[in-house]
Amino acid sequence: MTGRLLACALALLSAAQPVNAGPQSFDLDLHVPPVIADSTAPTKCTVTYVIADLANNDLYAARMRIDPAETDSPVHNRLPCPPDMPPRVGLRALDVCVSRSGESKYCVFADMSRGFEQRPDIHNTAENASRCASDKASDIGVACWMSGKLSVCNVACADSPQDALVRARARCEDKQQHDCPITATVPVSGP
Amino acid sequence: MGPRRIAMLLMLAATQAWAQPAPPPVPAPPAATGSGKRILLPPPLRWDNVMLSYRPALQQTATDFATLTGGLAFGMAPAALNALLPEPYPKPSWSDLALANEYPGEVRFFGVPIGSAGALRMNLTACTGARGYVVFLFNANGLLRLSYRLIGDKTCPDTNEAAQEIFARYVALGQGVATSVRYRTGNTQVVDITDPTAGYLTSVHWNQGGN
Repeated sequence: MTGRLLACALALLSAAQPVNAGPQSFDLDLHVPPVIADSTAPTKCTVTYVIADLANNDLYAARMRIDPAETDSPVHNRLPCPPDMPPRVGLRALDVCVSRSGESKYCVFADMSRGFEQRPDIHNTAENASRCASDKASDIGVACWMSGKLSVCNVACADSPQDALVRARARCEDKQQHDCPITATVPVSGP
Repeated sequence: MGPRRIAMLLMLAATQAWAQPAPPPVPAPPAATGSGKRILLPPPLRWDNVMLSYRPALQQTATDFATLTGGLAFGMAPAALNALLPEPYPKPSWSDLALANEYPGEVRFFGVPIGSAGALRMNLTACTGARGYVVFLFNANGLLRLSYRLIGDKTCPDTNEAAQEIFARYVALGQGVATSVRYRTGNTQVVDITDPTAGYLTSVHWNQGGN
């Protein structure tokens, strides 16, 4: 009996082999999404830094996802982020730019102090004001003015893209004493 | 475990093997834009709860690179790569390719105008200059780097926006899949996409008029 069943199973397996061996069709018409996300699951912590590449005039959003502790519980469906970020996380955020621009001196945090255009280096930027945490904000905004070819920017966090832009622009205009018409925003948790 | 159960499990395993489609590659997320400024979106990092160690949050592979580039893979031979181009280069054999002098060792290349680079053109909306081109660089191991060179001219004096548009697509790939770097030399914007296993060759930059 055992032998007959195994022989039967092996025969079925070998019958399936030609299907496996040939190129597979990826269009199986299953009509189901490949990944089904739980839309009700709480948002895990992401801390997003905005980094500026002064050489190429690029901005990067460096997203750091932080695993929750077992004891963490969501508030308003958002898992908490650590209240303080160790400097090493900010340094890794800068690396996102350094590894792509090739020159570390051109990569700075995007929240810049007044007079940055006179002394454009990282000491005139604020690490803690260049990041937003997903437990406090859903969007991070940037507003800049152009000093020649150099973008001088500030960053703000908010719970909508529109608010993030308004706040970033207000912060930039207040801090820089310039009109800051160049703006951008991304979701903190990313697409 | 009884023989009937073993047989059933074997049958189930055989069924599963072909019923599951391969997981689709992670699509490259578009860079976000605001009014006039683009924010580039590299793949996120995932940290442990005490933020001592990290790793890429997304599982990306050479398949993601191939999806983005219309089938390219690092290590590809010149002829194989040429076969993927809509307007193939006439002589892709190793001995016919020119030497790229900026590299130590033997690196050879050929280039095609960006307008005839097919999927590598990345559906650009910004101007690239009439003489913009894509260079494919090879060493003995095959494709080492693709290099976009966008040269400003009268009709398109500034190719920065196009370079940024191209760069944004590659930034979405982790540096472990394809190392993306951008810089300017003379009036040319350069976007280099390099095999992450290329080692010190990654740091070699092209100089307009200097090589």
